Amino acid sequence: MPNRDGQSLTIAFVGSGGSGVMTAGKMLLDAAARYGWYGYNARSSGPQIRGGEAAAFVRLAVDPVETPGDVVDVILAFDWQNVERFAAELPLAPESIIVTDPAQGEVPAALAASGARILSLPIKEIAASQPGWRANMVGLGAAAAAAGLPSEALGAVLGGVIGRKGEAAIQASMAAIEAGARAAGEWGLGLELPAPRTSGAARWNLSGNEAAAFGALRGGVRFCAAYPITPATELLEWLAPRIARTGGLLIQAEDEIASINMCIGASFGGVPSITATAGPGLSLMVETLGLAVSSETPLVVVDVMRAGPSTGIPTKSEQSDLNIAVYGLHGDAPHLVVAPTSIVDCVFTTQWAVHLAEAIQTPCIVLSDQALGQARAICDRPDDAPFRAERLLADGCGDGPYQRYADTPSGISPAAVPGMAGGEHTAEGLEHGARGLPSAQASDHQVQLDKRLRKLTDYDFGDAWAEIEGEGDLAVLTWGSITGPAREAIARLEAEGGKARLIALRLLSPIQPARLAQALTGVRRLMVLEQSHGAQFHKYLRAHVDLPDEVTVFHRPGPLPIRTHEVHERLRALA
Amino acid sequence: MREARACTPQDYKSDVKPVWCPGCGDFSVLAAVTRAFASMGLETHRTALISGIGCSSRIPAYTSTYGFHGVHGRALAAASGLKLARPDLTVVAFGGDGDGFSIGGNHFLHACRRNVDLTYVIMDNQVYGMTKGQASPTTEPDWCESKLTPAGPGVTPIQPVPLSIACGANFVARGFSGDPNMIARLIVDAIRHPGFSVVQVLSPCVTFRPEQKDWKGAVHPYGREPADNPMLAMHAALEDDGFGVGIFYAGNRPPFAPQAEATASVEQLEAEFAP
Amino acid sequence: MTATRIRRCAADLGLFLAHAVELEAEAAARYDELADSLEAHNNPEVARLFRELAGHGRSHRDQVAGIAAAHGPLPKVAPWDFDWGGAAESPEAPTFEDVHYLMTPHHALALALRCETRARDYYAAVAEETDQPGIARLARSFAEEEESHVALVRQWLDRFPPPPPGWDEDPDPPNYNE
Repeated sequence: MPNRDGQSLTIAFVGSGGSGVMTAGKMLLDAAARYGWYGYNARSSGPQIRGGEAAAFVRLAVDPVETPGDVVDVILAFDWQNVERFAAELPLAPESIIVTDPAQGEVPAALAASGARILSLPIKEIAASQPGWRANMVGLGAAAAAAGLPSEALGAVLGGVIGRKGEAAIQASMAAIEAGARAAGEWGLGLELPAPRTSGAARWNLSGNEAAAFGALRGGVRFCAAYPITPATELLEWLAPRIARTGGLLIQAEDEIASINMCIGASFGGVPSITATAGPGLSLMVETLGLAVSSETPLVVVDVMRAGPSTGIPTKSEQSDLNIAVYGLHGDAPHLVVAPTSIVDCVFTTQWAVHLAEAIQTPCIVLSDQALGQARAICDRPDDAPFRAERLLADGCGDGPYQRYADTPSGISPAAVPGMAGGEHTAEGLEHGARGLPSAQASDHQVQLDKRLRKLTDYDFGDAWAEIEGEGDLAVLTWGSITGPAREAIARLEAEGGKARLIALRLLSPIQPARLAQALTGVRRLMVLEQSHGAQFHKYLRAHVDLPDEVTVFHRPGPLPIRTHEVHERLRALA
Repeated sequence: MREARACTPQDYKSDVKPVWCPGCGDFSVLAAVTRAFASMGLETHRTALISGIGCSSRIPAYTSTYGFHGVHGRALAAASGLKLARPDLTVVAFGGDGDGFSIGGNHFLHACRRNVDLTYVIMDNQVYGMTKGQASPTTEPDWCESKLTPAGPGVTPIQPVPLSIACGANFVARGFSGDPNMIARLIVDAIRHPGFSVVQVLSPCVTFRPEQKDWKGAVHPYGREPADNPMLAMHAALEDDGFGVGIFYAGNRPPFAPQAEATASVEQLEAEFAP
Repeated sequence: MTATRIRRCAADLGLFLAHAVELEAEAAARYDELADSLEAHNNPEVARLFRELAGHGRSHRDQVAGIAAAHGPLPKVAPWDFDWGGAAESPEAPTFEDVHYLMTPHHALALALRCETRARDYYAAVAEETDQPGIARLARSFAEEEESHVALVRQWLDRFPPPPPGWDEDPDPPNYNE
């Protein structure tokens, strides 16, 4: 049963071909951010590059939210063209409201069947009544008013959207917004959210892709070579001008293999490097990631996961690249895999990934996904974390020839970077001895394999390895974007007097059996939660850790999000 | 290939409606392909269209032949494999400038060199359409409309026609989407010409490069007979301004078509293991 | 179209009929494709218009085909061998560069007007250039048919004045991420 607590509201704009759905959704979120609310914005669209059917979901809330909500409270439709494409993403309850333009025909049966209340708003007619009034502004005004967002907040963001068209256009749009607001005012829906909490904290409005790119810059990345691929492209496009402004460089390469090899080259030269891709691109990169493992060259690859396998569903989210991220390299090639738990956590986790990759001299895959990457959230400004790219550099190189791959106690050997006199060596993908000279000796292979494993297993990852909250003998074990609904479901359970722990792994590889065992102490019933058809996470856990006796696995592939109420219902059944 | 019954272009269209933007040059290529196939009377079940990833690569689903919508940049490798294993089929590869010359560059080089008897149609709009507007390898160095390369790619673009000749393709032609009948004829000639045939089609992207509307005025007949000497063809191609349409090169290299005749059974091979 | 150019089809009835059938068939097929394309891009009003124009084109094509059938087997002409008087395709066929996913009925009808006018002019030119009375008669009647289409489209066009500037503005850019 979906939850309506009056603390959040989910509005969906739907429409097609020039109706401006995406712009309306983004403006609503941006205005809410200015006003002081929190919020979340996701989008869906048809396969057309222009003019396609589109849906923009905006969840507005008094407290930070990380999920689209259980149901859509208000659909505001500019038209109903091909809306069946989104029917499964528009869950409605009988308490929901459908605002429809009578000029656009009947509300589709699939949506009307919910029993939601249908209201008329002659958007097209209102927009046509004055020059310069656009339908999406009218609809936006109505939606904002229904939420209790004052029109002035929309006015504050209008300049950024149409400012270049001049003052007259801005005024016309404002008038259209107010006309929409007036119409909505007559509905008396009572859905208005409480006034924003005033808090001192500065807030940010950003997407997961932007957050990851920013985190990389915070971490000290100054080189990126990349190839566009959905849904990672926005990360690269955000990074391109900004890495240049910090004195770095972004190169569009001819493909993913070139990208990752350019990055390994730059990193060999001492410059912290990153690339971003999706599943198909990661598949192409794995050989070179193995080279990074063997040559002990730091690298960061952000994989913004789409539904797989193969070309899959490029615009939809899934957690099915876990296997390739962890196991995809040939040979025994231990390396780092981390995953952000929310949109804002993309900042920290990517920054941490840069630090870890440089510290441990190995590649780190950051498993983001489309649900994080292409959605936007209003969140509290994340504090900077003390994690920077700090490669252990060879200092004076000791007696005798420099040993790049010296067998140190920690497994991490000081790195010489071209430019350092006395540190000349050849980095190797061939197995090698301590100096880096190719070797087929059993002893060298053993030593180097042990070294490359030890530097990971002996490393102190600190508290960031997982987010652990709550108490009780019931726990949810999850990772990535699914942390959002898990967290909300547990909060709901607690509000009902129940108890559950949340364990959301940020560090997926090397897995931490001892620390996980400690986190699971006292847990009798465990829910493993993930978005993959093959239950990849559950199988990964079973391979490496002891789980409690009673384990329920709730797993489902994309493209539909796993919603809070689905997790909550299952938790209640277990509790 | 067999040129059997007379049919209409409509017979070569599937019932799938293209999702290309209205105004896309690729519609003309689809029209040209169906007209070419109809004119040759190709059998749909003996014809295969192979493509990679991108707007242009959607074309196989819009035709009624066999099709393979593969991964980005590898259409030529898949097409080569198909034709080598099944020389009885008519195999035509399709893709855009990004798919073909960026990630597909290596395979393009070797497909030209290998000279398997197949045809490659490149829909060149000098942009990456599907990922929403980045520069491609045929984009001019100072095109600043992409967020990924806001200062312009700054790199010399690939020229598909001279590149094809230099790499060893056996037939090289250029067409323009404003004249689908000419493209149809080029495709027929390309398919009929033995070896690896390249047809570059200038095919404007109405969404990301609306200025390409001006190509209509820039396109002109190439104005020469197809050369059969690669050096002469190369020279003329390099002199061309990139908008000359026609056949630049029709060479005489024998196509790569290894044939093996069975001369032993598997059982007979056992004899090798006997001491 | 230069009045002095002798079209090949002005010299042979079978060839002329082959051209006429193709002229109509290509136009009808193209209108259908445009209707499909605009439907897929959520412009149902213009899609419906194009569908209607396709219907008219098909009946005209059938009409011409009927006349051609009475004549007997037509010569087979490869698509690139048709002589359209300098144009790349059937004079009556709309070209893809004339469309925009946000186009209004006005634009569609203006496009149709251009197409019908070109078709009329083509047939009229053939009637001018031919020295065969049979061809001239047919070409003139086809030209008159096209003229009636021109008049009809003009009437429809009266109902759809040009839209105000900004009709092609889409608040959502294709690469929407800010």
